Amino acid sequence: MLQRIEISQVGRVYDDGFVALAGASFDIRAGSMTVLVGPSGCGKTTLLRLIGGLDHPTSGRVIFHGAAGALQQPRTAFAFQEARLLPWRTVLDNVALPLELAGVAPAERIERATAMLTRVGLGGATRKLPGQLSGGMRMRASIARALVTAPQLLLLDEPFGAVDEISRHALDDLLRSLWAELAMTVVMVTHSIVEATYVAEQVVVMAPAPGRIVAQFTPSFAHHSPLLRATPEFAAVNAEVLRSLGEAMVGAQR
Amino acid sequence: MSRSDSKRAVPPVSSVVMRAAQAVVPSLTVVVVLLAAWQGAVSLFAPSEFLVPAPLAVVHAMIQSRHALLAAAWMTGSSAVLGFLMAAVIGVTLGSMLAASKFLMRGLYPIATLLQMVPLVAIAPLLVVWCGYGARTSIASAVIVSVFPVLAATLDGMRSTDLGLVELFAVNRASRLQRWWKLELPWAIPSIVTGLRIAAGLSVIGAIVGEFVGAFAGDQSPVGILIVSAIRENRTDLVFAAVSVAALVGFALFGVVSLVGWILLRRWHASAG
Repeated sequence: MLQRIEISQVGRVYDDGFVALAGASFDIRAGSMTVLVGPSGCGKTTLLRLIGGLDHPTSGRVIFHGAAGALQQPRTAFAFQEARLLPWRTVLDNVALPLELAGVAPAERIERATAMLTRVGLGGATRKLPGQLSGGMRMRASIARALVTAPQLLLLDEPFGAVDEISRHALDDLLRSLWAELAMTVVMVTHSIVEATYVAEQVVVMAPAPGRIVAQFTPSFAHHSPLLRATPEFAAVNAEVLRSLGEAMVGAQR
Repeated sequence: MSRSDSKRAVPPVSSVVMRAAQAVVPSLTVVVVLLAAWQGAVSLFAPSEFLVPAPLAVVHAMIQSRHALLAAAWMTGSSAVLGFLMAAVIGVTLGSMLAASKFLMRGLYPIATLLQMVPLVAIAPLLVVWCGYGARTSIASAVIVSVFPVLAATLDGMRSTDLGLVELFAVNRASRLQRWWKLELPWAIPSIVTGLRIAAGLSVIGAIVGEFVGAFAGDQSPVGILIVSAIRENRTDLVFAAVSVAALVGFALFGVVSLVGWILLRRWHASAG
């Protein structure tokens, strides 16, 4: 059982000498919702890919701590900025793809994919093709595909960046309810400070040149509902995150 | 029902038939006008029938020699279809192998391109040496001329696979075979269909070139032999008739491939909205 993820002095320097990430260190508690926020080029996607094993650090380590100090590689799933659905497959077949690749029997994978599609509100669109869906529906299908394998760790790379603001709010609410229901660890990258403040238990603020962590926040609200975004309490936390990011950006320009 | 509603209510197949009809009517009109002009010019200038027969004379030859022409169409069509199918299998297999291995691509693709440059008529006599007289030479000739477009289209299609989807398969720990079967091959189908359409027409040309050098006249002769025999007998009308039959065989094969391609690509079209 995953206990925590330790990001220990993790750095990534590319072959051309570009420092994408310099010595990032923080802990992610198992079962938490952590959001990496910052402007383009601050290394947040690089860090997410390092956590997910899609890339390797040039310095430092990402350590997955299991029970009793044992190291454990968690079952990991990704959702990307683009839905990345196969255009010739129905929504159901797209969502069932990870199970198909893992060799799960057809009847079981259809049952699990249908259940997950129903959970994300796409129960009526299982036979549709991706091109027949709206952007928000495609992202729901992408999230369903990531969750269908019941991952312990879900990594989201700006998953709602391409959808309109209203759909985005709905998707943020869906993500929070899925996270609470499925008891998984979520690490998400976003450009949106409002989104970070709203969905996260832990906000990690990053700044560019070189990519680094500049601040961490743990927003805690008494009542988490869609109306939270309109409260002074939320605005105060949001302003705090914004200020820390602004100070880091000004410091980087000097 | 409003006008836009009635448009939406048209089933996809009917809509395709309508579009096909819209595409064919202008071509047919041009063909009819050209044939009428040809017939008019022959009537007006009365050239030797050996040089330019009138369209009606060609039609007459077609009716008169219909049994021989039908048999020829069947023989040449069979060689072309067999050659085309073999080229499709070889082209997709080789294209997939080259797409999977940079070493193979760098080693084999330039050679395949070079072989494509060699004129078919120059190597056709060699095919007789290797395959003997008969249909095998025609089939081999059809394969040689139509394999490259399929290979190149498969290679290009697979190499253009969306890198995001490749990463998705990597994240889900797909095997190399799974990636080929479930991602790269379906992704390349639009490109492969284009290659197959080109190969369909070429396979008929290849089969006839093979017949010129490697077929023999018998009770029933293929189109290539029919053309050579008609030339020897100064029957230009029959040459035109045989050429028309060859064109019809090529057109039919192209049509079948286009139809299969449309069926395979329906999901792409639907997904494109």
